[in-house]
Amino acid sequence: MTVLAQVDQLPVNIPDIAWAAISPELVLFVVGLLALLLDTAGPQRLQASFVAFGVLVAGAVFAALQTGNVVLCALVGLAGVTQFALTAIWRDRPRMLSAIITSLGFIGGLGVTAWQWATYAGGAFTVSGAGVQLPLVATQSVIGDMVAVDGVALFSRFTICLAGLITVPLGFSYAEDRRIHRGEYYPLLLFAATGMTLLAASADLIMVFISIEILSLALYILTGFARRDLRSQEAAFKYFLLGAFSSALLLYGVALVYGVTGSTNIAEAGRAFSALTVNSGLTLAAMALLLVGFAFKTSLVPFHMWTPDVYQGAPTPVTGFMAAATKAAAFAAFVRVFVGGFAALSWSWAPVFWVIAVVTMMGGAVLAVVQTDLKRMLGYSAIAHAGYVLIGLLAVSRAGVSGVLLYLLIYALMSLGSFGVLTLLERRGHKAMALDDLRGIGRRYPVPAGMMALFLLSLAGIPPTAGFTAKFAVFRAGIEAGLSSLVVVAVVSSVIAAFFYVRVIVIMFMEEEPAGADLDPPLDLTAGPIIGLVATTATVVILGVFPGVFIDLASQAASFAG
Amino acid sequence: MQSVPLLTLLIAIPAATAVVVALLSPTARSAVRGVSLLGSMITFAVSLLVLARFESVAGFQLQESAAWIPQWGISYRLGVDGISLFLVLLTTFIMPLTLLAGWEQSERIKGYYACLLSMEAALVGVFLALDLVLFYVFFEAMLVPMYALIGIWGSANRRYAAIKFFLYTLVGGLFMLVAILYLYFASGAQSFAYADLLAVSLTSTEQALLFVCFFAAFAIKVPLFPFHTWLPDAHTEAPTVGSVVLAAVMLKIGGYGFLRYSLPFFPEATQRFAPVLLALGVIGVLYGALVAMAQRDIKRLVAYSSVAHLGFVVIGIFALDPTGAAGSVVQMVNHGLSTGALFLLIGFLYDRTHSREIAGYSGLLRAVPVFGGIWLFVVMSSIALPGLNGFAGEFPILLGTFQTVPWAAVAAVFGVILAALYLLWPYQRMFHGPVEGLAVGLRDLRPREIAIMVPLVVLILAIGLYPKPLYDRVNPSVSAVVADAIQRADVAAAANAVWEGE
Repeated sequence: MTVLAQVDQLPVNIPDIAWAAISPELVLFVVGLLALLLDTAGPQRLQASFVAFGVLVAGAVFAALQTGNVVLCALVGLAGVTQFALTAIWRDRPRMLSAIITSLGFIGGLGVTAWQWATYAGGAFTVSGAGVQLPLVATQSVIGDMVAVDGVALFSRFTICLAGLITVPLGFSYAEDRRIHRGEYYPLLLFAATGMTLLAASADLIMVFISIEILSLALYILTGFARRDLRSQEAAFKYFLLGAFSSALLLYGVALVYGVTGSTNIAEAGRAFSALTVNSGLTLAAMALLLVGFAFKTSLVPFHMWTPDVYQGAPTPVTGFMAAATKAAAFAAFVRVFVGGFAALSWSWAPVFWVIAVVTMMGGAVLAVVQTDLKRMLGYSAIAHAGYVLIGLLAVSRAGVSGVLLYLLIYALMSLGSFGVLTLLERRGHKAMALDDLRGIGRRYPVPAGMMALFLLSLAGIPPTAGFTAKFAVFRAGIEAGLSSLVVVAVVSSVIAAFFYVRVIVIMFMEEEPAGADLDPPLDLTAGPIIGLVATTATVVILGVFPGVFIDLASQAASFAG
Repeated sequence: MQSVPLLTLLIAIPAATAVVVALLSPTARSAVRGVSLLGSMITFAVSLLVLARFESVAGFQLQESAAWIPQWGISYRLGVDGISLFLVLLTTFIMPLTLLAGWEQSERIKGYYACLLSMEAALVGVFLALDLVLFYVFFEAMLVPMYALIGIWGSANRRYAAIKFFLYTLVGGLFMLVAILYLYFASGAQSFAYADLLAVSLTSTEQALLFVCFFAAFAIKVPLFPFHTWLPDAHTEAPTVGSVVLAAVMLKIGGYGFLRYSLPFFPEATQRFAPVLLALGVIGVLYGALVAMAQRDIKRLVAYSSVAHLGFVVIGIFALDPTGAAGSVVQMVNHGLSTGALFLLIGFLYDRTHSREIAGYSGLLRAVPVFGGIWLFVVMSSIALPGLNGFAGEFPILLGTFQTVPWAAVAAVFGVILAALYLLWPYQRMFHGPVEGLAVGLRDLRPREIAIMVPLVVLILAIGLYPKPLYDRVNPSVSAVVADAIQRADVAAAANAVWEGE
C-alpha cells in the first residue's frame, strides 16, 4: 500500500503509521541502539548479540505476518545474522565492531533511501501530468502529516547517510590516537544522523523542532567528546548555549505560526497564511523568529558566531560530519518551510534573505581571510558557502531547489575531504593545525597534500572539480530567477574566498619545511582514512567532470513533491 | 574525412601524457623527459595535420560535438577557424621547445612536466572550444598549472606573483561566467553552444553590461592597461618555461577572446566602446614602452614590452577594419615567437649567471657570439624590422587602423619608435663594450639550446619574408567576423535612430 493512497483514506484521529516513510530513520536508529547495546555489553557481548539476533528475527517474523512482505522479512533476518556473525568475529575489538556496524547502518540507510526513491519517484512522475502545477516541495505527507516523502527529503537523506558513511573510516584512527574512541561515539553519530534525516523530512513545524533537538543533543555531546581538550569543552558549551537559544526562538516562532494560522503543519499553515488578507504584525514576527532559528542552524551571518568556535573545537571528524550533514539537513527543512510552505509569503522573507545572503557571502569570505587556524578558516568558509546555497533557495524555483540539493551534496563531499586530510595531518603532530604547520607538507607527503589541494580548489569552485558544478548550479538558478546582482556578489565573495584557499596551497607546496620537521613523527596512514579520502577524491573529480547523473537525480528530486 | 577526431586528439594527447608522466617514478628522470617530449611532438604533428586539412574559408572546420551535460545544455564542441588555427599551432609548436628548455630542471621534474603538458591541453582547449561553458572550463583549468609553475618553480618573490596571477585571472573569469549564464537565459536556446548563443538579441544596455563582463576576463589576460600589473610580477618570478608559455600563448587568449566573443556577441557595444579600447591600447603601447625603458631587470623589460606589443593587437582589433584585425591575429603569433624566443634566451643567460641585471653584463657579443647573434636577430624581429615577422604583423595593423581611426595609428607609430629604443639600448649596454663583469668566462649556447632556437629563428624569418600563407588562412574568418560586427552594429544603430525619431 502506498503512502500516497493512505493519506486520502485517513483523515481523522489515529494516524496509521506508514513505517515505510520513515524507514531510513528506523534503520539508523535501530543500528544505533544495536551499537550501543553491543558496546555496553562488555564481556557479555556475544550473549547480547544473540539477544539482539532473537529480537530481530522475531521482528522479521512479525513483519512478515503483518505485511506479507518476504523481502523485508529476509532483510531484517539477514541483519540479525550479520550482526551476530560480526560480533562473533570482533568480540574482542569493540570499536572495530562498532565502526563496522555503523558503516553498515549508513549503508542500510542509503539502501532504504534508494528503495524509497525507486518507489516514489516513479509514482510521482505519473501524477504530474501536463498542466498539473505541483508545489515545489511536498505538501502531501504521512504519519499524521508529520513526515513528508518527497525529493528534497530523499536526496538530503542520501547526502546525510553518505556523509556518515565517509565519516566513520576517516575518524577511526584519529579517535584512537586522541583516546576519545569511546563507545558512545558511534551510536551518537547514528542518532545525530537519525535526527538529521528526520529533519530533512519534517512536514510539521513541531517535527522540525523535535528533530533539531534530536540531532543537536547528539552533536553537543560529540563536540565535547574530547574531554581533556579545553577547546572542545568550550566549543560544546557554546554550541549548547547558542543552540538552545536558537531552538527556543524557533519554538516561539512555531507558536506564533500556530497562533496566526491554527496549525503547525507547514503546508496547512502556508495555505492559511496565503489566505490572510491583512498582513498582521504577528505574521511578520513569526516569520522573523523562524528565520532566526533556521539562520542559527545553517550559520548565516549575523547568526554565525558559534560556527568558527565549534568547528575549531570539536574533534575534527565530528567537525567534518557536522559541516557536511547538518547543513544538508537544516537547509532541506529551510527549503521545505520557506520555499515550500510559505512561498506565498515570500514578500516578507525574500528581501530579508537577500540581505542575509549578501552579508553571509561577504562576511564569511572576508573573515576567513584573517584566520590562522585551519579548522577555523574552514568554518568561516562554510559560512560563505551557506550564503551561496541561499541563492538557490531565493530563486524559489525547481532549478533553485535542485541546485540547493546538488550544492549540499557536493559541499558535503568537499568538506568531508578537507577535514579528512586535516584529521590525517593532525594525528601527525597531535595538535591543532595552524596554517604554518602545513609548510612544506606538499613536498613530504605529496598525495595527501595533493588531495587537500584538490578539495580546496573545489571549494574555490575551479573547474573541472565538483565545486564548480555546484556553483554553476546555483548561479544558473539565480540568474534564471533574475537574481543577477546576488550572483555578482557571490562572484566577488568567491574571489575573496579563492584567496585563502589558494594561500593554503601556497603554504603546502611553495614554502620550505620549517627546521626540525624531520623530527616530527611520520604520517601514519591507516586503511580507514585512505578509503575515506580516496572515495571523496574520486567523487569530487567525477562530479566535476561528469556530473550528469547527479544533476538528473537532483532535478528529479526537485520535481517530485509527493 | 572526419573519421579521426583530430581536434580532440590535440587536447587528449597532452592531457594523457601529463597523466602518464604523473604516474611515472620520480627518479625516472629521463623517462619523464622522454615521454613528455614525445607527447608534445606527437601533438605538434597532429596540429600540422589540422593545418593540412584546413581550407582557407570563413567558418568553423573539422567540427566535433558530443553531449556532455545535456541537462544544462552544455556540450562538448570543438572547431577551428582562421582565428584559432595559428594560435593552436603556436601552442603546439612552442610546447616541445619549452619542454626542451626545461631539460635541466632538477627539482620535482615530474610535476614540472605534468604542469606544462596539462597547460598545453587547456590552452589548446581554450582556442578550440565552441561551447561557452567548455571554453570557461578550459579558461579556468589553465590557471592551476600555471599558478603551480610560477609558485613552485619560480624565483624569490614567486608566492606573491602566483597568488596575484591566480586572483586576477579568476576575477575576470568569474565575471565572464556570469555573463555567459546571462546570455544563456537571454537566448532561451537551452544551449551554451557558440552558434546558438550568437543568435541572441540583446538590448543596448544588456550588451554594454555583458561586454564589460567579457572585457574584464580578456583585458586582464591581454593584459590591457590598467589591468596589466600582474604581468610583470608573474613574468619576472616565473621560471623560464613559465614565462615563455605565458608570453607566447596565454596572453593571446585575451586577443583571441575579443575577436571570438566580444565582437560577434556584442557588435553594438563593441562599436560603442571601441574608442575606449583604442585609447587603452594606445596607452598600453606608449606606457609599456616607457616603463620598459626604465627597467634594470632584462626579464621585466621584456615583460613590459609585451604590454606594448599587445596594445598593438588590441588597437588592430578594435579599429574594426579587416586588414587591421587580420594583422592582429598574425601579430599575436609573431609576438609569441619573438617574445618566446627572448624569454628563452634570457633563461639561458640566467641559468649561467643567475643574474638578470642589465648593468651586470657587458660585451656579451664578443664573449658569447652565437648567443649574441641570435639575440640581435630576435630583437630585430621584435622591433619590426622589415623582412622579419614583427613587421609582417605590425604593418597591416597600422595600415588598417589608419583607414578607420587615424589618430590611433599615428599614436601607435610612436610605439614602434620607442620599441626600437627600449630594445636596442639594453642591447647596446649588454652586448657591446669590453667583456666585463658577468660576461667573463661565459659559455656559449650548447647544442641543445641552439636546437631550441633554430626553429624559432627559421619561422621568424619565414613569416617575415612570406607571410601570405598565414594571411590566406586568417583573412576569410577575420573579415567575416569584422564585417558582420560592423553590419550588425549599423543595423542596430539605424533601428535605434528610427526608434528615437518617432
